[in-house]
Amino acid sequence: MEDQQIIHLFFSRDEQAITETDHKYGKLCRQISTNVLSNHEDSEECVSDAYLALWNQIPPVKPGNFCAFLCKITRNLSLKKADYLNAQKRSIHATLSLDELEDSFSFRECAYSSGIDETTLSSTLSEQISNFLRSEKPDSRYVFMRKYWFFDSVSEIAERCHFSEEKVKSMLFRTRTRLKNYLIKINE
Amino acid sequence: MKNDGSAKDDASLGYIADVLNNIDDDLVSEAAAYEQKKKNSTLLKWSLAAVACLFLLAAGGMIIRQSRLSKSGSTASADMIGFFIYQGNCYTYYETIPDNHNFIDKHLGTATGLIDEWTPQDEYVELSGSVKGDFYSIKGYDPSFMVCIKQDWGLIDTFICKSGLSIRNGFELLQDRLHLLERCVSVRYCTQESWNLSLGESFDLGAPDETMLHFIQQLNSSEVIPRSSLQQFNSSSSETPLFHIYFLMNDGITVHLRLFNDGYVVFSGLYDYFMKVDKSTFDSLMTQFQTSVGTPVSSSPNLYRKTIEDCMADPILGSFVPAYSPEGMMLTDAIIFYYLDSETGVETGTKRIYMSYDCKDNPHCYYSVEIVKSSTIDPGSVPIANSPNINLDLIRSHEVVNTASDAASDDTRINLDVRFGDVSVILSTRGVSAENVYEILNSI
Repeated sequence: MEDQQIIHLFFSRDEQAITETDHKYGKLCRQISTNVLSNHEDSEECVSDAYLALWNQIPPVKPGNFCAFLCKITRNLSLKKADYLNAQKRSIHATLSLDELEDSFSFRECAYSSGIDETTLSSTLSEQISNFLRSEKPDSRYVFMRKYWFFDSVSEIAERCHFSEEKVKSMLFRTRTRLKNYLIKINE
Repeated sequence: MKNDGSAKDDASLGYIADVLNNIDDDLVSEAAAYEQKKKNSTLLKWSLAAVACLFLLAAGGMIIRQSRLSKSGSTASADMIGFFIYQGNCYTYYETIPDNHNFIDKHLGTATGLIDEWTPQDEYVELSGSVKGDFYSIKGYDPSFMVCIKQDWGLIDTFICKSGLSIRNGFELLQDRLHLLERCVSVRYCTQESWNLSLGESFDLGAPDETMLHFIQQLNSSEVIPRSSLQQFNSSSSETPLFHIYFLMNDGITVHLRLFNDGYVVFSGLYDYFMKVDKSTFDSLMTQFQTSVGTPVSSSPNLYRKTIEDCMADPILGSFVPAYSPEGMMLTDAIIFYYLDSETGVETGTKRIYMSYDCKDNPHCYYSVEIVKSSTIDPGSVPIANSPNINLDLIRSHEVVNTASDAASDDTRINLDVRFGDVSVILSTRGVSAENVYEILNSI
């Protein structure tokens, strides 16, 4: 079923909307959630919560990109469930992935010291990273997104892309370095 | 890994997670399209804009026949598999190995690399693909099964043909095409967890022992079973392997098999051909693996990055590699690029050496060194200085200080192309003092 038809079902308050969403995107959502939580029961609960959030938000919200809308809700709920202050609940994938990225964000200390508040910087950063990723070659962009947004493991990405794991690691390293330099340059 | 529950670290990681969650929708759905396409694919999962194939049972064997080349999926197709089309068949990436200088046989053609995820269907023509370069047959292997491309950083990518093959049993795959028993020198294995998390924890069993030989014989006699006929490998929660087995061959190739429950085995180069061993063989192997039999092996070496010693040993540009690096700076990348002879794949000279250094304690501080023949670079992009004229004052004259109010106190940059005869050593630095730059150049 096309996304617009699913959205129409939500607007019609037809419970079939959930069934169709799960049929089309259930596996993707479970993968995102499992990558964050490493726990089947918790991830199932998160996916159910994501569907409930869809049901509550649509209408009035009419997402332009239904897939991304659902992915973001699922990822957000999963990360919240993992609870940043209780890292042991977060999967090794997610923790390692975010940890790897920390260096690329190291310029933040300078930004804070110059008086930029965290919310403004966060919003600006999301936009800057989007622009950076658009300037990257498609393969680098996909590998970056699968690793740091979907929290796929290097092995999974390598298998999916038919690259060697070494190549994936090398691509990630280079993209992180370019991102770090880009963020430093654009925020100086 | 910072997984100690530290509030500061977790707040920082949470912040990064939030920033990423708000990146633009199109980037998310583009990357998500991977999974959706995987779910929708039918027989073959290696379809970049899929090369559609039909499995046919004929004369007791299975033929993977190419039927058409087409783009699958309607919108953001995001699979970007290394592949090219040769003699009407699709060759897809298998593994990267070092060049043992006795691997490449004959030049077969040149892949044009003109296909990406937005290429229209009518451009899926002979020699097109997502990779480009001269490709060759491999000594001792049938080019209708496996060929290779030599990369300009000296490594070899192997590609396996996944269409037009006729394979009836494991012997035809493992022995006729991969020459497993003939060339295997040692066997390694690792758990699915180690493979999945890239932990690099594997065990070496040495040359195949009786248990392993029996396992291989069982595989030889196993008929080939298409994935499509095995329900457990087709549902949305497909089984994952229990162990990965690596047969290291005397020619540098690795035959990577995945071992699943109930004795199902798949070769990583052909995900859709399954073989099966009997229960007692499977149990014997599992007993060995579950008790971690063998010698622990640390993670495989990084094939791509060279050491500073490798760079210095390069016969053409190695003498221009700076011996000095400032205290606290770490080599993060070193790559040597070569010129290749198109017909033989032999390295005919060094094209470029690239090295980058980061400061462990200061993210603003880094530098790179690129060594290249001056005639191959665009003139005027970087200020030029001749090596005999290099002194501290000259370096300081090229120092650019960031005067922005929020700039770091050590935010200075020096970009310089220092000519040593016909060789350029291009230095790009940030946060590195002129004195240190002088020392770097002076150590050449």
